[in-house]
Amino acid sequence: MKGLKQIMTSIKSQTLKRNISDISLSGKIIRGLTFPIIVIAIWEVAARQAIIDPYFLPSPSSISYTYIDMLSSGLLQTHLLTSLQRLIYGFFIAATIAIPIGILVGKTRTFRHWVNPTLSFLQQIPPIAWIPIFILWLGIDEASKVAVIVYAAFFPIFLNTVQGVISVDPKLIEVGRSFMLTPGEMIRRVYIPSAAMTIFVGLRLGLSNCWRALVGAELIAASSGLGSLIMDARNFSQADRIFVGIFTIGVAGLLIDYLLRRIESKLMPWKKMYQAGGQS
Amino acid sequence: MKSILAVKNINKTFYSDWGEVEALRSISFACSKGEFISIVGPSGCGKTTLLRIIAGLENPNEGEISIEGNHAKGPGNDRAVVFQDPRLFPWLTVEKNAAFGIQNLSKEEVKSKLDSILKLVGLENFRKAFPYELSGGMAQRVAIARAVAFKPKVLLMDEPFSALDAQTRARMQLELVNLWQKTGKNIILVTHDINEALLLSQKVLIMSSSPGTIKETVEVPFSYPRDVDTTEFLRLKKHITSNVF
Ligand SMILES: Nc1ncnc2c1ncn2[C@@H]1O[C@H](COP(=O)(O)OP(=O)(O)O)[C@@H](O)[C@H]1O
Ligand SMILES: [Mg+2]
Repeated sequence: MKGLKQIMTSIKSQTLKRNISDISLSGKIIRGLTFPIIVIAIWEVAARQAIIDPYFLPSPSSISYTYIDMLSSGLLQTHLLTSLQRLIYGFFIAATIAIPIGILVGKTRTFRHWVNPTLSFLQQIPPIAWIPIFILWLGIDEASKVAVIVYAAFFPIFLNTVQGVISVDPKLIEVGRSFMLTPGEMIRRVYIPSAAMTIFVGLRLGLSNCWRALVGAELIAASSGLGSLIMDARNFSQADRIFVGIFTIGVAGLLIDYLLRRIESKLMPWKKMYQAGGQS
Repeated sequence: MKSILAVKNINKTFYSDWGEVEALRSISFACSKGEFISIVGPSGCGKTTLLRIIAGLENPNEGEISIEGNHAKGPGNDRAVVFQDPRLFPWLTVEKNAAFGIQNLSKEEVKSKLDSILKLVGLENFRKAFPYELSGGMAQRVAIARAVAFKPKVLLMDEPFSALDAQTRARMQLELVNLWQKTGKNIILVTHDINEALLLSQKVLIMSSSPGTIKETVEVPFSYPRDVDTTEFLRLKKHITSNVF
């Protein structure tokens, strides 16, 4: 009973802590929005006073009209969905390749020595640099774009998986050993859950890498997707459409990351204890 | 009396870049069925090393461990370890941690087994709690539950109560005797606390260091529950104290 009481008070103090950080969170949001709002306001005023030429920089209000137009015609959604579809394909392919290989490499020290230099070299090459050759090999259609995304997501996911597996607490591995786990069980029940948090960091990095690489690929060669939307608008000198495209890319990126964070905290409720000290 | 566990002539030396440490020299003893043995000795005398060798987590340079007459190499279903720190899996709830070693049982069987074991260690109300929500004593009880649920013949414990406050430790010591009497398991308890050894076990192996050897084996003839204030208890304690330090 005494123990129960202790737990209750500790839970209470935790929720208290969480409340405090909630307050600072909403404060953070307000502070985070202040700057863009000021910029947009100045921008709007400048545009209305005709200080800037709308040909180069349309006013925020006219951009938002274009935005609404593009939404109601369904054009924006079509391009957004195309991009998201590519993103999801590429991301899942990358994750299904990178995580198993990462576990293998993390577990095998000798293997690490063999592949590390090559990987460090490949890591230096921005995904976009591969686009020409991917187009040559895979054609201008979906495959080349998906290949770029797979490449972009691979390294963050792979490297974090390796790191996560390397830093599994040897004491827990020993517990697994003393309970007679088979090698497969050891990976499933000790390595993967231990490394899950680090792997998730990799997934998040990978996804945001993907998103950027994808838009890059679409800018260079695509007939659909947000990148191509921007490129088309440039060809017709429609600055407002370009801004709608850029804005959508940024917001979609934020939402994707937010979604992944939510999934993360659902999957790993024990993670709270590590977050007591606050996060990035 | 048939021996469950036999430790035969164990030698262990650690080799490292800066030299070698002879941790154990010709350690032999046997543990008969249902016996509760404790191992005491000063810090660094090789208690943990001995326990890890018995657990199969470390190989001796010479000698062997046998369980019911069979040579035991590596970890086995017949032994379970409670480490000095609880070593719970942070991503598992109390009940899942406790069930970690359970194999080949149906859902219902696991549940009823967990019910009885968690009750035994007094954690039946904390089944869904995560390790970070537990106090040190509770976490160590989960570790004990996990080892017991594995149904080993021999329970190996390495200073399981050393990180606890005096009050919790006293309660856990009573609970351990209780658990031992209810389950009839063999227990080998490593401790540096002579009082604890005398309070809990039927036999105390006294070790000395550099290299670690068994200096003396003391039978503890008192019945349970034990009274720490009797003259016999105090005399035995004094004898061991003068022997260990
Ligand atoms: N893995 C190891 N490598 C090298 N030396 C070790 C290792 N483990 C233990 N030792 C040494 O063996 C001796 C006994 O250690 P240990 O069994 O931990 O003693 P105790 O548990 O009685 O305090 C110590 O001198 C320690 O430094
Ligand atoms: Mg020790």
